[in-house]
Amino acid sequence: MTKIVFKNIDKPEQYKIENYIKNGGYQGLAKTLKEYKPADIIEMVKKSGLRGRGGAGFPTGLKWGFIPKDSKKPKYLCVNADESEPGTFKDREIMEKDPHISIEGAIIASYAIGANVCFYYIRGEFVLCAQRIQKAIEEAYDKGYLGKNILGSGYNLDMYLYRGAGAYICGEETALLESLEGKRGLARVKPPFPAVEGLYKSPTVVNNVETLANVPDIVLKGADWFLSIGTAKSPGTKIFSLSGHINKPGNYELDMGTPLRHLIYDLGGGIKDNRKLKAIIPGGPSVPILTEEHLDVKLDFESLVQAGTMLGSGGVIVMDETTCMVKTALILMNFFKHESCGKCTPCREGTVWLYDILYRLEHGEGKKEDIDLLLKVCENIGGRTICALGDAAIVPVQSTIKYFREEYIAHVENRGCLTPFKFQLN
Amino acid sequence: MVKINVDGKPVEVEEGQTVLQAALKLGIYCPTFCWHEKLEPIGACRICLVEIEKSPKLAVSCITKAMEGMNVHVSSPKAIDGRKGVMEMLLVNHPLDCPTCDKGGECDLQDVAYYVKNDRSRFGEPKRRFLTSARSTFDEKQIGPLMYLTMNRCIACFKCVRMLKEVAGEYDLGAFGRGVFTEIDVVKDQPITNEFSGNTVEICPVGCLTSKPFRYAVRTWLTQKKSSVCGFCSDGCNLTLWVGGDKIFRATSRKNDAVDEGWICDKGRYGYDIVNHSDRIKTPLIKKNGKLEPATWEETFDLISNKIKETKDKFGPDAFAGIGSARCSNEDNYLFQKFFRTVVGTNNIDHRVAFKRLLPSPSSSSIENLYTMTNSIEELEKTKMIVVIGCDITSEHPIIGLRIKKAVNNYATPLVLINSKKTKLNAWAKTEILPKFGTEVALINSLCNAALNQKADQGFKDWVKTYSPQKVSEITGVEANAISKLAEEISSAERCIFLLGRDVLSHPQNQELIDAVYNLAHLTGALNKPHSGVNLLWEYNNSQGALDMGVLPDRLPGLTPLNQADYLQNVEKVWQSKISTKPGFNIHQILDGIDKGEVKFLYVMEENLVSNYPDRKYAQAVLAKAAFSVVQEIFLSETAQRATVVLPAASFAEKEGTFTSVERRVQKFQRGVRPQNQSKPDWQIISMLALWMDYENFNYDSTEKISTEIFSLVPSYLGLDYKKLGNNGAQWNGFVSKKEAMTYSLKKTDLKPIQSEQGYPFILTTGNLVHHCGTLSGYSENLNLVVNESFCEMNQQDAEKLGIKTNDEIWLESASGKIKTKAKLSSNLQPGMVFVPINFKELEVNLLMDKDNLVDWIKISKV
Repeated sequence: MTKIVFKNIDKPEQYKIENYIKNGGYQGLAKTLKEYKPADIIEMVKKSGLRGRGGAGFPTGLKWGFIPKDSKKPKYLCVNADESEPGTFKDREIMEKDPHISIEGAIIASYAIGANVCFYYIRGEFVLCAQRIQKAIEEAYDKGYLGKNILGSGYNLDMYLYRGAGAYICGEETALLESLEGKRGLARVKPPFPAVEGLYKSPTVVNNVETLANVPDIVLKGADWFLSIGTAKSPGTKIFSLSGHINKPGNYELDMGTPLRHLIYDLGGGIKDNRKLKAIIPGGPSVPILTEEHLDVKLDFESLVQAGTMLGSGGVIVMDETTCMVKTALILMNFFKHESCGKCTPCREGTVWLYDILYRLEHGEGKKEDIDLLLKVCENIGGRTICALGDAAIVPVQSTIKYFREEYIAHVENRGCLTPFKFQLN
Repeated sequence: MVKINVDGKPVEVEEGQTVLQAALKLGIYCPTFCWHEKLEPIGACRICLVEIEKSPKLAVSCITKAMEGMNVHVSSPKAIDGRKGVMEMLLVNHPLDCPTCDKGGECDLQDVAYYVKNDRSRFGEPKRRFLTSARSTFDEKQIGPLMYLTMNRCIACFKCVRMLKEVAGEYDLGAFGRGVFTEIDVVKDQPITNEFSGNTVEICPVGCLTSKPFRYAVRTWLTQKKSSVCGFCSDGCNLTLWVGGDKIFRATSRKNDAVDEGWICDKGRYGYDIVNHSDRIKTPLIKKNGKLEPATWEETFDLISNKIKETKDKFGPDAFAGIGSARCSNEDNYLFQKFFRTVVGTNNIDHRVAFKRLLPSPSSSSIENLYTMTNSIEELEKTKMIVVIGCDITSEHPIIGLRIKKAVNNYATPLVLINSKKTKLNAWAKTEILPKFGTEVALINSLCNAALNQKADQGFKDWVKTYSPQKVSEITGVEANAISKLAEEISSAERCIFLLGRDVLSHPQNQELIDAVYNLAHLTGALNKPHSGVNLLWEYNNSQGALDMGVLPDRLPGLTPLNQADYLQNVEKVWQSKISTKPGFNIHQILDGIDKGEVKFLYVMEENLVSNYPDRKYAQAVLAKAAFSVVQEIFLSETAQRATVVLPAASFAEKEGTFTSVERRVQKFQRGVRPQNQSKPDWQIISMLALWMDYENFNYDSTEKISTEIFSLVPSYLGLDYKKLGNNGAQWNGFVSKKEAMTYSLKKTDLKPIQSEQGYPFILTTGNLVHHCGTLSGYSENLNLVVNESFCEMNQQDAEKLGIKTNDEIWLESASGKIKTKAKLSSNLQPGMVFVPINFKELEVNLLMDKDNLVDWIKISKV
């Protein structure tokens, strides 16, 4: 397995700039400023096939290329560190243990798109991350990696840390921009896309922390090297955050295309107490679940789509046989209804409606018709909302019904849940 | 242009327009909630879903741009199904309390639910509730003096918040919380009082925001809608009056894009209740033994007509004087001056009661004496720079203020404010200049000095050079480089509109100041360029019309001089009467005439002379001396109380006619309700009185007949057609349209420094509050809910020196009088200045004024 983002993650005090530099840090930036024009970097990242690691998997080089060259407006890079997808904690580890790798990537990206200001938007709850990033930014200024005339190249970049106020929706790029502008974090209508009208109506790129952490090595080692890792269409590595009923939870950086079974059984040490595997959420709750039969699916963008799900954010949640699927859907819907921003009707009203039905089912007041009603309400939300939150919110319902309809029926027939485990909902 | 098909019908729309706009252009209905034509679309409610061929998902038509060749289906089964789905969602948490909801009958949610024909819901869960208190039934919350919020009805279209933010730039209403508990509320429990708040009630698609005066007052379907025009400030907003029987239940906007774009201020929206006020004069009154006693119309007409005959026989026509009104319609004022010029035979008429120093009467033959708005409100969007001089726009002309904000926000038009005090609009200004009161002329001269070019001859150049920025800086307190910079900006502006307001019109050097601005506009080219020019903003709803109708001692209708032979002949022919060419008394001469006993007979039409004349004691004394006075009024004002005969007049809502707005727009207004009690429209009273005296030439049975006479006689109104005025009115352009070709010669306008008065350290300034207009709005109980107390605004440091705090009772004292009020500390005023609103009859601010002193100096002491 290749390590790109995590290559130095466990080295002592890697978060300090002297250690980061000692371990080869900021060489990618030095090389960039010395050898490449901005357009060369965009070309190189395009060629490398790097895709966004935040969830949607959009080609990073292509995104950068959308920034208009002739615009007189300022351009901005925003680092999306609003990692809020349940079961996803990869960016957190990067920021806490190796913050400079993301900052170096962000500087290179800013240079590539011609931005002179970069905002590092961190989830409000990530206190240690914010401290580490703030310190790292200050260190980078001291060493001349940020500020005026970086490394004598004539390129200027200022980086600011901005802490969110605690909303899942602010990880959605347009809501992030609204929040950054000091407004309520509500998703914007697209188009216009941020590349054309983003922060303060200026061309803006929003990139995930992990995505940017890949960039220094791509510059140092070349696009071809990156292409040699992973699969043809999903090159490179991906960090998977493994959690749930698993013996060894944690972050694992794997080559794209590694089988799911390897992650769960070889690296994760298998299911707790040797119980039977029931379901897996492979990329955060916004993606459809998989079951035991899918254990051999390869973890890359294409293979997971083929299996009817998505790579998403890489948050792998493992559930064993003791897990109630209705309750799973209920817990996740509790999350989505709480986090729906309230701007567009189907998501605002629909998530609560779904939650109410699931709550009744779980608590023995369900009717048989409720199961189809759930699916109907999902249909009424899907594809009709401004951002992807609405589409994501219906996924747990649809996919649990798809694989475990009989469990729903049992909830109706048994007048409630037979699983003894109780989870306190707020 | 982009061609698309909607429901199989081809339509062309401009690039950038949306699918929804294309459908609307075709007249195809597509429901909307969060969309509003004047607001940025946000695509939130999703009810406008349509199907677009080759697009996998249904599209939200209000935010989807029309693209060449698109095939859009509003009425396809898929689109209909989509909208049904959204409608079901919208009703999930809506309380469906329609039977007790004020919006019933005019609710967008009801109407669209009816349209999508979805009569059942699959939702069987308890609905979301916002509780304002544990015991509340209707969950309503008063969020301002005039507004209620019933949050459970909200469908989160955010139009209220967006309107205030985008259009008015106000932030006192916001959205809080998240998801289904997204809540509209005031900020930090501060009541909403901004002057445009009523618009949020009007655009609320459900019964979430309601207005206090209209709640549970009437079902809308039991009312009739009448087209009206606002009777307060001069902006001329179009109103719809909702009436039932003899009562007006509310006023809403009747969108006129040229004027108000569908927004009205709260004065216009809530001030209608003066019409049904119980203090209205109920019958004619005749003074007997010093007391006004009810009388019949016949008695009063007998008395007045006999008195007129008697006075005329004994003392001749010039023993009469008449005061018209900037509040009355063109028809009222036209008949008023016709009555005085024909039946009586004098030119002793005026209406400009509030000005100490009268400007020369406007003239239509030279650009600098036109004294009107030479541009239109719409042109504010097309100009490249706006310079406001001496005007608190937000208070005096709220809707012009909105247009300025739009120009600043949408077109980045630089706004320059030259005011001796800071106003609400200063937040939008690119440049704020705060000259000391009374030094404005020097400032403008200095701008001219910095903008000199070959248009000025040597004489002017030599003169204006004495106003160097350094010297003027010392005089005005404005930094020298700010003056040079501003002159540079105005000179280089491609187009520039100057707006001159109340403080210029009543300035001790009003004429010099206006001339100086003309000099500047001439030097910088603004006089002759399109969408540029100098504009005087008159104050009241028909100030312009009263001028146009010739309620002036030296002007016939159309601002024509008395001695213009050809016109005079024409007028004499139409009026079938000889007209005196001897200029009459102006307002001050009229009062002096009464004082000296020359004027025996005074006739006042809807003008509160005592409250508005800039010398209360004098006005009171003069009225006491008048041998015979007739006052036509809607309320028993301080002036009416002193009259010999009082005639109950109808307000704007009880008559029809035309008003001419600040931008010379002649607008027709319908009668809302029948005249209250025994009151009659002013024109009718005059017409009846003349007929009583056998002047058959006054036989008018409708205002249309008067309007038609005006439109066929008054030069600037020629060509207007009463029947064709339609919903939007029409501007008279006459001379104004030729202004670009006019020549102008520069004038030397010297500063005359104001002299201070020993022992009276403060300069008194007056004006309107944002929620009031003149003394009339003080009768509005609705508006008094927002602000009903007078005060004296003064500079913070001044107050500290005197040990005065906000709300302290203070005495204001001048050489002429003394009044008591409350102090309000403010950083908007420069040291040495105070501001007192003119809107409350309890505070007789003109007691402090002396008509012979152009500046009112006062002293302040704590009670």
